[in-house]
Amino acid sequence: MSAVQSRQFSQAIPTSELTEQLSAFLDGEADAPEWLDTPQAKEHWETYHLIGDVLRTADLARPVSARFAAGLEAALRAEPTVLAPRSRPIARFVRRYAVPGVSLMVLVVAVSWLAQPLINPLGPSHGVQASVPPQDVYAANAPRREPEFADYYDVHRHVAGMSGATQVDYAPTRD
Amino acid sequence: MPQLAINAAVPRLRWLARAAVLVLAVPLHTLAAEPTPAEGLLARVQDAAHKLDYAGTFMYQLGSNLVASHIVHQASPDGGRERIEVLDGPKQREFVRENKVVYSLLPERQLVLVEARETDHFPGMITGNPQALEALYEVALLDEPGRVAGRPCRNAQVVPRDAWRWGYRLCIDDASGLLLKVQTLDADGAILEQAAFSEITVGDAFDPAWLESSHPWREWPRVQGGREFDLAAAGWHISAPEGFEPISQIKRKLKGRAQVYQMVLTDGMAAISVFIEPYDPSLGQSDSMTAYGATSIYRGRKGEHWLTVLGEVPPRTVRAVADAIAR
Repeated sequence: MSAVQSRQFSQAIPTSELTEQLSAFLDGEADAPEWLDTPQAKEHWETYHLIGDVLRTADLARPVSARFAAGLEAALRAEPTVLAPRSRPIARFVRRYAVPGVSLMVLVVAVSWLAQPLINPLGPSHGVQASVPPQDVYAANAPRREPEFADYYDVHRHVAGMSGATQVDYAPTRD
Repeated sequence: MPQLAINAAVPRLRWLARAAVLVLAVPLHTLAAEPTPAEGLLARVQDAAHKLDYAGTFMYQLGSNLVASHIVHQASPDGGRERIEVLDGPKQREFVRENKVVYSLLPERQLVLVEARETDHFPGMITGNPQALEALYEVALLDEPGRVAGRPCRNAQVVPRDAWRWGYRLCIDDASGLLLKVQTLDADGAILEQAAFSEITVGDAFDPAWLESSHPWREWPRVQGGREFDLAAAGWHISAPEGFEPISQIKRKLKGRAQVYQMVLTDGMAAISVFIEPYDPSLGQSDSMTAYGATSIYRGRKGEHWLTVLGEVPPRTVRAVADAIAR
């Protein structure tokens, strides 16, 4: 499909439908939409993966790397679009680029935070019997969140109704 | 001594008189049976949060973090409208709720995240039937008078009947019955997190124009936060300590993750989320138990899956939920 054709194609589809199609594709419930190889699709892809961050965690809300975007474009161009597309190549691509990329990002953030008491470990769960409850009492000064928990925490608090109450600037304090 | 007994009884009578006035003023048609004082208290807090018009600023504290939000709430027969603007932090955040649908506004991306919400938030407290909470928590009025946001309020304590839950200390507005302050407490009475109004306007002075956002967000593209999903149909068995019931099951994407399934459970006061996703050995994750404010977070591997269980409950509760998950 030529760039001109695909651009016309994508402009004809409402945004909500693009999002829905991308979502279904990522869920493995549908084939890759034809408009995937377009700048608009790239934007949607980034948006889709930013949601968890943008929800409330200010210090993790950053766009995916330029390398990721370029890699995605290259991979999509290399992908034969004539055959019925399957989700596996994309899944492989995500594993190869997106996961290490995000891991690296999390690692960088984590390392830069290491000097501070990030979390309050209540002890690793291995070796703890279910019948022995972990410590129930916390230090009054609660610790900061670990970055990798941020998405889960924010989504939970959002669903639990506390989103208006919990936007805290989690950026590390640099003394 | 008779003299002392009379003195102790007077504040109680005054309280009863206030309660009677409020019961007459607020249409409490949901309370068919005559409630005990404890049941009446939580129901009244919930009723006030839903059926009154109010606007104010509240502070929320988690450990060393403090954030202020402005809330505007208008009651309506279909569940009410609400706008919450977060006043602190580097990015503008605003949440508009219309009945049970919450729109999260992301001005820097001109994007709206849409999600249904079953649970309630400050100054609301409880989800579901307040009478069912009686089996799980003991509610007691305290004699010590309170004052929050310049308003006299009634102190009360919500004490869990078992070790699966945190306790709460409340201060309830004498004039309106609104919850003005809530503190989440551990078993020793230490404060884990707290929220309180710093100023509030209730009733007649309310202006519906306050509900309007300064952003033209209704023109912005919308993204669905998650979609409904049946975890039981997918073969998952999730159980929790007494009183916790599932209220929603969602599948969603989190950054850098595969599909994540989420179940939300609540005992009426506290919520627990269970996240299930495929286990990825390349991430090198190990089991852990951590805490943030009142939130306990357990993460661990279950066969080919990775579990994240978190909620505003003691660590033992999220651990028990995680241990009971089976497929």
